[in-house]
This record gives sequence, structure tokens and C-alpha cells, in this order.
Amino acid sequence: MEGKLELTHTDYPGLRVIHVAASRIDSAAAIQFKDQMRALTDTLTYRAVLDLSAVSFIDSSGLGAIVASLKQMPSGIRLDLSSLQEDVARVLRLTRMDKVFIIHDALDLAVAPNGH
Amino acid sequence: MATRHSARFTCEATALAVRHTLQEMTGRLADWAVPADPRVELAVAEAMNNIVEHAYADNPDGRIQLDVSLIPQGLSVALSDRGLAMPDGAVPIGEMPAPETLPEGGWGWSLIHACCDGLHYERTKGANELTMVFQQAEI
Repeated sequence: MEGKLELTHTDYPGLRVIHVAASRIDSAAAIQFKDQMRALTDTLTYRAVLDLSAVSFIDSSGLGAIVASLKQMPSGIRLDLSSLQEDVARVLRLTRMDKVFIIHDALDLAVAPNGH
Repeated sequence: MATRHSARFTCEATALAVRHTLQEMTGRLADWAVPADPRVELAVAEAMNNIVEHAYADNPDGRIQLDVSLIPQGLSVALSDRGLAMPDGAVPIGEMPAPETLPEGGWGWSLIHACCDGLHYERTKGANELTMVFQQAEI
């Protein structure tokens, strides 16, 4: 299963953490990513946090898939990001998409009640 | 880094083949003891994805040739394909889409411009030739 991207999740009270079990969200992974995100979020009634700690590379297709995931969230439900590696954070900064998301440095902060 | 190094890779015009070629390229640069520069993989990824999606319009029979070489200024990456020419005969200037519009793409050329130090495009004999230069030690 080349190019396979897997998302796993952990549920906390009022919060779903979605872990990306892949080192790349790139053009080859973008559609799978968006589809799996939809399955994990489309009936959520509380906040989701995307744990990107394993991701070392994203390109504009990957970033587009993350934005698409935000837009397909149920109305009024947040999607935050957490644990960005430096190269991923740079892409968010260069595109100024770091203004669009609440970005947590680490998961323990994201998991805190109401995510500060 | 006194030795001059160069390498050529040939890649099918698919997203997965682009991923593999990028990984081969970064592996080769590491073999050459080139200091890791994340700008390189990002810029080359964006340029190759553009070729797959636009020049070849997702036709997987297309082929992309990637030539990487160490030059006095740093690193040169040349991409060649036989797909459609750049619409205006030149690379787009690239403007970052406004974040508040929640764009799902459109960052490619802006990222390429932001990541490389020199960019040259030519259409010759039915081929697109795009060369990117990265100066060393900019991290």
C-alpha cells in the first residue's frame, strides 16, 4: 500500500485528537487525507485537534487538504492544529495560513479544557 | 564540497512518483554532504506538482527529468518536461492567496519564488525547462 496515509484518533471529554500516522501530507496523500478527515469529523459536536507531530513535510496540496478539512467541519466546530515540526510551521508562515488556525505547541496544551 | 556532483532522475507524471523522486533527490544531496535545506524539497515539489497537474494535465504517460548539480553558488535543480507550455511563456509571479478566503491551493508559485534564489524558464523544442538555484547556508 504505497502512499498510504493513516489517521488515528483519541477521544477526550469534549475533544477529539486526530493523529497523522505519516511523515508527509503531499499531493499523493491529499485526497486520502481529506476523505479520512471527513469520516472522523462529520458528526463531531465538539472540537478537534490535528496532531501533526509525525509530519515532516507538507506541500501546497497538503496544506490545501488541511484547509479543506477545516471547511468541511460541522458548523461552529473548531479544528485546531498541534505539534508542528519546523518545516511544516514554515509553510504555514510563508502562506500566512498560520493566521487561520489555532496552533498549539504541544498536545498537552491542546488537550487542556477549552484549549486555552 | 570541492568535488562537482550531479545526478539525473526520471519521473513519471504522477503524485506518487514525484514523492519518490523527491525522496531520492534529498537522499542524494545528503550523500553529497549538502547541508539540509528544506526550501529545496518544497520548491521542487511545487514545481513538479505543477508539471503533473498543468503541463501534463494529469496524464501519467508524461515524463519529468530532474537534474541536480552542485555549482559554485550552491545547488542547481533543472526540471524538464514535454507537456504544455507555461500559459504566458513565463513563470507566474505568484501571489499568495488571502488567508481569510480559506484557499485550498494557489500557493505553488509564491512558495517557489520564496524558496529559491534564482529561477529561469525557457520553452525550447517542445520542452519546458525550469531551473532553480539555491544558495548554500541560508538556514
